[in-house]
Amino acid sequence: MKTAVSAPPARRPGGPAGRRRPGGGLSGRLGPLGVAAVAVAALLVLAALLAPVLAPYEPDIGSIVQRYLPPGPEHLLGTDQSGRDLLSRLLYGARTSLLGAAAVVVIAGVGGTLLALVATWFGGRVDAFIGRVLDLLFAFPNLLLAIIVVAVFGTGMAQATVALAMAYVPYTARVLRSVALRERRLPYVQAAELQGLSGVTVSGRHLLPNIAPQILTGAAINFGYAMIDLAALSFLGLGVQPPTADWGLMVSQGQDSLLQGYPQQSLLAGTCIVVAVAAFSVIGERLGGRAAGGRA
Amino acid sequence: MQRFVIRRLGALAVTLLFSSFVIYGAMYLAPGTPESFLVQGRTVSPEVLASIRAQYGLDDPFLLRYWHWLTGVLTGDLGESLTTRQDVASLLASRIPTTVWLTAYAALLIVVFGVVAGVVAGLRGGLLDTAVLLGSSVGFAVPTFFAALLLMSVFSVTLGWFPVFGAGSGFSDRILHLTLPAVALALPAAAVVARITRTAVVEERDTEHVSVALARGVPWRTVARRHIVRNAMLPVTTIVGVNIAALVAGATVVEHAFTLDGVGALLINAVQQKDFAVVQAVALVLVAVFGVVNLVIDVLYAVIDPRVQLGGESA
Amino acid sequence: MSVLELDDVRLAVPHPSGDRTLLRGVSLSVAPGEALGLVGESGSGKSMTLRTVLRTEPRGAHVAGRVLLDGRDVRGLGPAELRRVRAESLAMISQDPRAALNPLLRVSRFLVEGLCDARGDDERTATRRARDLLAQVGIADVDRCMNSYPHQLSGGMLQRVVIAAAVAGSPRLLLADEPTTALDVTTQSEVMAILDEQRRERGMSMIFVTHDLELASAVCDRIAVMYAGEIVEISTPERLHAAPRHPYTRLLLDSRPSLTARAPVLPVIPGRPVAAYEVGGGCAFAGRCPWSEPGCTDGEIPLVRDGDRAVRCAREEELAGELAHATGTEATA
Repeated sequence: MKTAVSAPPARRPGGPAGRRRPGGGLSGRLGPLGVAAVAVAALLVLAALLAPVLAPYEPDIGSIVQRYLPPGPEHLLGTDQSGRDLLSRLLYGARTSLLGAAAVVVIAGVGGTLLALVATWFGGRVDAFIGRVLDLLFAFPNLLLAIIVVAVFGTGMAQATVALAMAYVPYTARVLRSVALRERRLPYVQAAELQGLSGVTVSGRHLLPNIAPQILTGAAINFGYAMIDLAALSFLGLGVQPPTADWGLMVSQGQDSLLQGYPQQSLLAGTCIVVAVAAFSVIGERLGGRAAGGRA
Repeated sequence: MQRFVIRRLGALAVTLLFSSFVIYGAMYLAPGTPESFLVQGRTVSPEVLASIRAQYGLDDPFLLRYWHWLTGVLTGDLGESLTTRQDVASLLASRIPTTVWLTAYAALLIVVFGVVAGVVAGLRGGLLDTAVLLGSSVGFAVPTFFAALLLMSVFSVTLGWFPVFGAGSGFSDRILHLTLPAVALALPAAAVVARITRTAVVEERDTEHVSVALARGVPWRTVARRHIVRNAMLPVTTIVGVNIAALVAGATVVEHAFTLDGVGALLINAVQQKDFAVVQAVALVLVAVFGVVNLVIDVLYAVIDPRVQLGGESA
Repeated sequence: MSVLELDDVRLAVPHPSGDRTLLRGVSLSVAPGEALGLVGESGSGKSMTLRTVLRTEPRGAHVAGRVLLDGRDVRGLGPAELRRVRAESLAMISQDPRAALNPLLRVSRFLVEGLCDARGDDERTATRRARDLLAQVGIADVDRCMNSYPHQLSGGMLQRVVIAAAVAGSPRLLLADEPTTALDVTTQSEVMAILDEQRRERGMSMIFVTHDLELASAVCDRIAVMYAGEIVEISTPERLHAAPRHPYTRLLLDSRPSLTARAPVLPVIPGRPVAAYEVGGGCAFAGRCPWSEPGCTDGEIPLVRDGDRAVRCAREEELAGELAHATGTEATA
């Protein structure tokens, strides 16, 4: 008796060479530009960490007789209107700028994640209530929300950071909620719930790891925005206060000098911001696989 | 359509009501008392202080004060500045033209340069595409205030083509004064819009209905216009809208950089001087404008996309 | 003269690990008024064959061979001529009507566009013709249909619209790519009947791509069976069913459920379908073929013509008798 089922085992021509998963590893997902962006970001972080070692001068101390010095062997990038060494200020500025943006992203990430998980887990009225509150916050433009918070709590780096983080929470929460909700509907999460595991356990053990990639991608994308917005607040005089070195503040303080024909300070600090933002947004974009912007 | 707009207007009114409460409540909770700003460090007798408190209704309970403020706002009375004693409504009115001109100009630049660059890059591809992609990546990373200073440095200080400060008066003078600020304000948004537009056009170009139209012998120009660009405008409308709405607040930074006497500059001054009467009024107005712009975008979207169920979705 | 003649058409698309062959030399011809079924598993190259005729193959694809439409090689046409041919001589009906229509435009625009913008007819004549055609394809409320947006119509309705649009310009050749696969089972036969009727009335030729051998047999004059980017057998439906000449055809016939006999186990073709680019030397089907012999994997096996049928099998003559009988079903029934 001959049936089609009992035919000789099929030959598999081609072999594994024929199937290659496109871009397996992290560097594959990042691509050459992404790897370059990671390198730039790492360099900036390193510069910020090592600022006390690398900086040739104290960032906040200068002599008025040495103001507006052009780049030279004494001061590699020259000095500002108060005779402070620009290279030292840029290095220390990296600390405030990166730390500030990182703080915004972390606070917004944690807050957004918690809101998303709580909304997903409890659903129903809790979810609806959180949704309404987020809607209300969405009625405010980002920067305006931050300005209002600063108006209430006063100017300063800490206040500005918290203000921006609050402005970012709605976006993070909304994106993560939809991801977490999708995950929660999956059978394995339902099974874990049926086994009697508590909401906290299931959220922490199953939901959180599965929305982690989105949390990270969102953080990387938000980092660029946070740097710009924080620098803008400092530029407006609402964020970091002098004499602290901060890129946004340096651009602002350099404005008068720039109009007098000494553009170095603004140019250097501004370029630092542009490079950092570009690097982080490329990383975020590559991780998330979508175009920059379009956060709403 | 009418019902849709009315519904959305209703939703907006509710949102504004809540927003006003949040704004007023935030100012109320702020550390420091209003009368300490009013007296501004001078030593005043308790009697004077009491009369001030009475005059501003500071002894009333919170909800009553909020109610007074809200009813005032609804009748066009935005209160009185704590620092200058000026009527906030007229203060605001004098600042509005500059901001409206600035944001309208910037919005125009965003639409013209962002959308057009994106469409051309998406349709043509090649070198131009690469240029637009690169330009938008860099443009996106340039903060508006830095762009403002760069433009100022190059075109005002070095070349002397444009005035450094001021908003100008009359049409052509305004355009001259506001060109650099508008460009600075539009730059990052135009970059994002160009990028998204390009992606939308490229995606649309690869859809089956476009390939079907071409396979039916419909000329490329017609397909590009009627099928590719038109459909790509859906996501573009959203992103353009989001970015134009964001100008409402973003203008603040540019106004500060160019020392323009706009609403945003008023807000920043008020925040620095803790003039809460002005802060809450300006904030509420900005939220209202933001809401209206978003509503207009939604209506526009519904006009373009027949699939949007006008009656169904709530805000 | 044939309406369409494909002569050794080969197609490869670029891929990071070297070009991938999708068509390995397809030759076929379609006579005036004839319907040719193109049957095979997914990935066998049926749709890609159609796309070489319309020249809508993927960007960057390398195509060799000739595609003669009324004696003219479509592959060599300039942009303007290609557009004319597409507008006047060819029409395509694709699998998913919902994807074929622009979701933002009304149905009337879709119908009129093919006549006005593509062929240059004036708008009013085109509109009248579109309305007539909608009535002919069995649409009751023509006004409503014309004014509808695609999302307001059912898949079956939309496919009728697509059929109306396809036959509107009385093309020489209809290219139908699984036109009923995406539809509800209940509307499939209805839509198929309309397509068949319209085609016959107008005397148009058709290439009908499907994986459903039964369906192809019902509406086509001849059937070409494709496997791994080439044609393995061409025959009339009757003879194909009575006496398939290629082992793959035999197994295809056996692997569909029989309406009369209940098979305890439905026979399946062993192994997985082979993609055209995976084929080494010899017969592409040899790896899955119960009748394969060592000699099957050597050299190229030609498509041997015998009157109006053709087969590509090294053991064609030896197996002729054996293949006439079903394998699994008959043995167990």
